[in-house]
Amino acid sequence: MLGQIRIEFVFGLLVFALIIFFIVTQSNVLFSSLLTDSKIDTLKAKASNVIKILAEDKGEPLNWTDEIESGHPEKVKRVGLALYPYNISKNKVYNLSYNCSNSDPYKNLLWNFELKDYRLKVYNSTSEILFCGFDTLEPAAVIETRYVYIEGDTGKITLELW
Amino acid sequence: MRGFIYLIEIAVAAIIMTLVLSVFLSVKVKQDWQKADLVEYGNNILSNIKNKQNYFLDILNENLTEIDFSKPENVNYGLEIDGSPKSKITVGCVDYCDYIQNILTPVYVNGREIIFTVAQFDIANEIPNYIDAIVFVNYTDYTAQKTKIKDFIARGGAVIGINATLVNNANFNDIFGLVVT
Repeated sequence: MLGQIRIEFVFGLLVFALIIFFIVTQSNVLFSSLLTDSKIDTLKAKASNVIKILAEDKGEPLNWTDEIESGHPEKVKRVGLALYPYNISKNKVYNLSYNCSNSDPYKNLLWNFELKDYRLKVYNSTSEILFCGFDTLEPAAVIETRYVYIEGDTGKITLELW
Repeated sequence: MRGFIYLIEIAVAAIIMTLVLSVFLSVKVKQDWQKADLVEYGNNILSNIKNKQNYFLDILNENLTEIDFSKPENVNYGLEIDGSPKSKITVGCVDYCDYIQNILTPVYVNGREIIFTVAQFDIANEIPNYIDAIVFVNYTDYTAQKTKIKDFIARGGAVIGINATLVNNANFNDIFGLVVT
């Protein structure tokens, strides 16, 4: 009969609308999850690379602490804390701790690692001997840790990114 | 009847779409960092072992403090040492233990001191697990204990026999792989 809407049509339309709604909502969940996972993957890879360089590399130039002490921090191309892999120098840690300012890029030796939001800490067997980065309550998305010797003492380096 | 067919079509289509969507929505980025982290901790441990002077000797002496320091507490590990003698070797004896103790003075192998502890045991019972090697001196009852001795050898133990000639003892020859010619 003209003017009447068939019940099957209404039911079909309803199911179709529900499916479309389901697809749209689930797609949002899926893609936001993919973006989060992708971000964590990127941060994890970054943290792993940076902490590996800090723990295993001597830096460029090898005597980069001399450049700091002679007033030429711009000559430091890359910071590494190692005397040799996983055995780090107290002097390098000391120099880095006084040259990782967030506010002054010229006084931040970590600038070429291109870290955005981070906390870098070095501990010896008793206490924290270096803190660089942002002292906030922001929870870290990734945390990397390496266990090192600090000229005979035991210690560890942790890097948190978010 | 025609309306009923439509409802079935809709239901079938809905089920198929739900199944297809569930497959599509189950796609996830796999974050498999656990293996990479474990490899890094392994490298970290090996590097620290290399850094610590004489640390391999500590490991052989079952002092694993440095390994425990070089990893997070929730990471477990297994350690197996091949091809190197223990620093303390426990030698079992049935008789003549003082004589054996006098023979087994400390020795140096590749710069490592190896010492021997002599422990008497009753071969009538099972051979204790803490014994690494057995020295028999003038022992004659190989026949009765052949099975125990061969089991001990099979699980990695060493057996030394110091005897006057026992060429006619088939079990003695069998244990030590001797052939009478």
